[in-house]
Amino acid sequence: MLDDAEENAAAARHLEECEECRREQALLRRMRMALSAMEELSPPAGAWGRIESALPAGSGAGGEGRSDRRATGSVNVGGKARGRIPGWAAETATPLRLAAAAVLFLAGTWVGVIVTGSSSGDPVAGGDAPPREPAAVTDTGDSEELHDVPAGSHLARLQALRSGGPTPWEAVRHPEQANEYLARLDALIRASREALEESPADPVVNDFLFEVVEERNALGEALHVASVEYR
Amino acid sequence: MGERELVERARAGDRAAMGRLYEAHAGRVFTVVRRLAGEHALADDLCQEAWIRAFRKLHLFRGESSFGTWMYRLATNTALNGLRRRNRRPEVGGVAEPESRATPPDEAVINQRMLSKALDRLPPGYRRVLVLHDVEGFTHREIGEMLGVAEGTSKSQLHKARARMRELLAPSPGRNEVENEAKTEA
Repeated sequence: MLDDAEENAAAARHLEECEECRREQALLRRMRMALSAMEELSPPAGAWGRIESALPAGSGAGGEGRSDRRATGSVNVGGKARGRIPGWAAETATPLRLAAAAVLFLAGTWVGVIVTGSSSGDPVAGGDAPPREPAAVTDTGDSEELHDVPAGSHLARLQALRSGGPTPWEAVRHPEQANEYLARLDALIRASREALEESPADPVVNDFLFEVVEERNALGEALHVASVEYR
Repeated sequence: MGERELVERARAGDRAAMGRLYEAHAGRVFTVVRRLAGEHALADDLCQEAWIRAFRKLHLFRGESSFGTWMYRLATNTALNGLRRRNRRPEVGGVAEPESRATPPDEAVINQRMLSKALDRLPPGYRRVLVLHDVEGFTHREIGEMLGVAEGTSKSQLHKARARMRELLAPSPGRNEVENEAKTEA
């Protein structure tokens, strides 16, 4: 339905006269009813088994213990999910296995995610957030997508911190670059927490921070560096 | 055993309690994630991510809403963030859709299957808004917050999504492609 009462009235008058539009409206109404009544689906067989096997020992009691961080995290290589870091990576404490887990973890969705160090030029630190602008839509036919990160939004500013610097692969293989990468992740964590002070319930920034903390702690364990807390 | 007690036990690490929470809400969670993802394998992966995150974050659940509502929102956010990271589109004619639980008459099966196929063929941005609004019942304001867009943008995208769905589902002299696929597979 249209927002404006006058527009609604004009539309109603038109529908009285135009059979084609009445048919179209009826079809759209049926489509919407069908969409709202779509049947519930069944999860694939064995799904709970896979979930349970990926839960670290003692999970559910807080979620922020060391064993939790080691045992979880997306492993996403080449854009295709490969499941969670296996349990052996959580159960053992050898540096080699932790480093291997860190490599798998970092080589996934965060390839190319770089954090610039915090400085006076940090676009996130200080200042008021500019007003939200409508998102831009790129019309590319079948691939029409919604650029759903408004300019000036917290997420846009956090993503703007990704530029240059070592890749996760380089960070793990070269200790001097690992420290730089670690520092950049720490800066991104600070920036995310600042963003959450303004919008504590923002689910996107919350998840962003959660994932960055996960990544930072996975790398930190491989480098025998103290972990950080989510909050 | 009530939900509150199940949650408390799950918080304490009781796997059986976690399993029961999963059983109670897995269908609802998988359904919304599957609709958003547009493909089965990706939905499976995103659901796994959501459930693991839920049990790890269970200490954050305050009980102000039901566990199901909390889990549903968490799964929706996890799916949207996961899709944003992956920036993937569904593969046309990919993994076969498993049967839904009910066994409706032939016409309804085709309609449901056509609807599902058409949803899977929508561009991801359209599909997310259409699923969140017309299937799951979120308001434009809520969708705006979840997707990080203006309310007006959500409305505009919904209008375009419905028009695209209409094209995919509309009967034509040569029949629409979605209906053809459904009849071929039947």
